[in-house]
Amino acid sequence: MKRLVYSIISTVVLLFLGLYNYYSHPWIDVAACMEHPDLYDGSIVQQFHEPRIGELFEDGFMLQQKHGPSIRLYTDTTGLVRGKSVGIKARFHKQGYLEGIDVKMAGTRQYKIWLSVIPVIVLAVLFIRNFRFNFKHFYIEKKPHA
Amino acid sequence: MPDLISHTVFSHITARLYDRGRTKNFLSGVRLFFYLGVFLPDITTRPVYIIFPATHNWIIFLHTPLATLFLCLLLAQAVHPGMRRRAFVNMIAGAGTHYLLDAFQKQITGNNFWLFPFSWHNFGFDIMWAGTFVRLIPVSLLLLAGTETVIYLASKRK
Repeated sequence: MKRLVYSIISTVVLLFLGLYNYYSHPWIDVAACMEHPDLYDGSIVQQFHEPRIGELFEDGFMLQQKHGPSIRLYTDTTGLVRGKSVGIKARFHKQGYLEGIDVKMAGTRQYKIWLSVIPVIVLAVLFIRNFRFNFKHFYIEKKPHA
Repeated sequence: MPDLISHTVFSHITARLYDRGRTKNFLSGVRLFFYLGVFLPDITTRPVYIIFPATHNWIIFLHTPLATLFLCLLLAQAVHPGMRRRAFVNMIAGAGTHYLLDAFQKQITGNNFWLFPFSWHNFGFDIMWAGTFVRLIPVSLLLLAGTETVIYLASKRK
């Protein structure tokens, strides 16, 4: 009974937190800016969806996102490499471009992602070796030898 | 966020120092839930929004302490009653060390919303970029080996 109560409470709380997250988050993204340029003119944009450096220019680059529109970003391009991931804080201008406030290339992001998979696989193997799932009682239990 | 190897090493060393070598086989039994707790804030968010970027605003709350607490409580219900409480405590402790290491990362966009849902303020000490953690992986692994060696030698002396 206690188990059911805890399961229901935590599920409901997580659902509410998820909804609150979606409806209360303070971030503006490029798509919203492009849709309402007058409204968001001068706003700080901090949310980008997997942003990458596209075509490089002398005074900036074309910002590409995995999900969402591409946009021209004006910034210092020293050290930037096309195709690399990038962290950005920028100001939107209603003419349809961004002015970089803080731009940092994340050159090792791909390595970070793939390196992060290794410990997850190791843990999964250790879990499989140590535990088994009891379908009758619907819980994880130790294997006899573990 | 730092990579999960850095997270694992940092959390493992922290746990080993706290444990002071009392546990011989640290990578078995209910202790494994500690490492699950270490990974939980990242594995419930990063892979999802990297593959499906549009989901970011729905799931980023799972990388906050309160959501992690309830997620651990929910996961603990799927564990044998005899080790449920220990699994829960281990997951919470692991997640705690995860958030602690995250606080050291420099960032442009926020990541440490410790007071969510009461505030979206981003906490942290802004010391190292995530890329620096990646470059320091060999050093972290050496530290890990050093810690384990010291614990092994100390236990042999007893």
